[in-house]
Amino acid sequence: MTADHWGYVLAAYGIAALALGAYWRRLVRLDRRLPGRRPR
Amino acid sequence: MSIARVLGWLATLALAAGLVMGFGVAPREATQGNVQRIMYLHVPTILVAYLAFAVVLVASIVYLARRADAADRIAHASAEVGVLFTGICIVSGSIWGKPTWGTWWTWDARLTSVSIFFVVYLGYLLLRGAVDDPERAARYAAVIGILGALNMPLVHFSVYWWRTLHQPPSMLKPGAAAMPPSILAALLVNLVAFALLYAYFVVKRSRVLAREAEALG
Repeated sequence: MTADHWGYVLAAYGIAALALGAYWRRLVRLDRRLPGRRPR
Repeated sequence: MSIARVLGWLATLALAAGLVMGFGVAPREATQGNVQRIMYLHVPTILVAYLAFAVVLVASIVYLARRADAADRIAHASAEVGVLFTGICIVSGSIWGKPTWGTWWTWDARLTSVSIFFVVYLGYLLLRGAVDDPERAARYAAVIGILGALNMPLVHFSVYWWRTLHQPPSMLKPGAAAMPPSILAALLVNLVAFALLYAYFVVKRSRVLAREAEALG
C-alpha cells in the first residue's frame, strides 16, 4: 500500500492558510490605517 | 451588509465545504494515497490565478483605451491576488512533487513556464511601486498586464507541447474530465471556494486602492 505522506499534505495546506491569512490581515490593516469613511 | 462582507462569508463557507469535500468525501487515491489531496488546493489556485490574470488583461486594455482609474485599480488588485495564488500553487506543487516525483523541483516545461508567469506579474507589482507618477505607473503596468497574459496558454498547454514530468491538466482540457465523480465534485467545490476568495480579495483591495488615491488627492 502506498504511503500517505500526511506531513506533506499538512505542510501544503498549512503554508497556504498562512499565506492567505497574512494577505487578509494586510488588507484589514491597510483599510483601518486609511482616513475617511469606509465604503459599505 | 457590504458586498465585500458577503463575499468574505461566502468564501469562508465555501472553503469549509471544500475541506469537507477534499478530506471527507473524496476517496483516498489508489496510486498516490492521501498525498493526492494536495490537488484540491494546487489545481484550483492555478485556475483562479488564470482568471486573475485574464481580469488583469481585460482591465489593462480598458485602462489604456479609456484611462479609467477604476479599471487600473481592478488590474492592480487582481494581479496582486493572482501572484498570491500562483505562489501557493507553486509551493503546494513542489510539496506534492517530493513524495510523488522524488524531487522538490525540476526545470520541466510546466514548472519553468509557471515560474516565468509568476516572475512577470511580480515584476508588474514591483514596477507599480517603483514609478512615482501614478499615471505612468498605471500605463506601464497595463502594457505588462497585456503582454504577461500571452504566457498563459504556454503555461497551460506546455504539458502537451513538450515532454514534461508534470501530468496533463486535470481540468480545462479537451474531452471530459477523466476522474471519478467524487474527486471531480471536490475539485469543483474548491474551485468555486477559491474563486469566491479571489473576488473577496479583489473587491477589498480595489476599495483600499481607491481610498489611498482619494487620500493622496
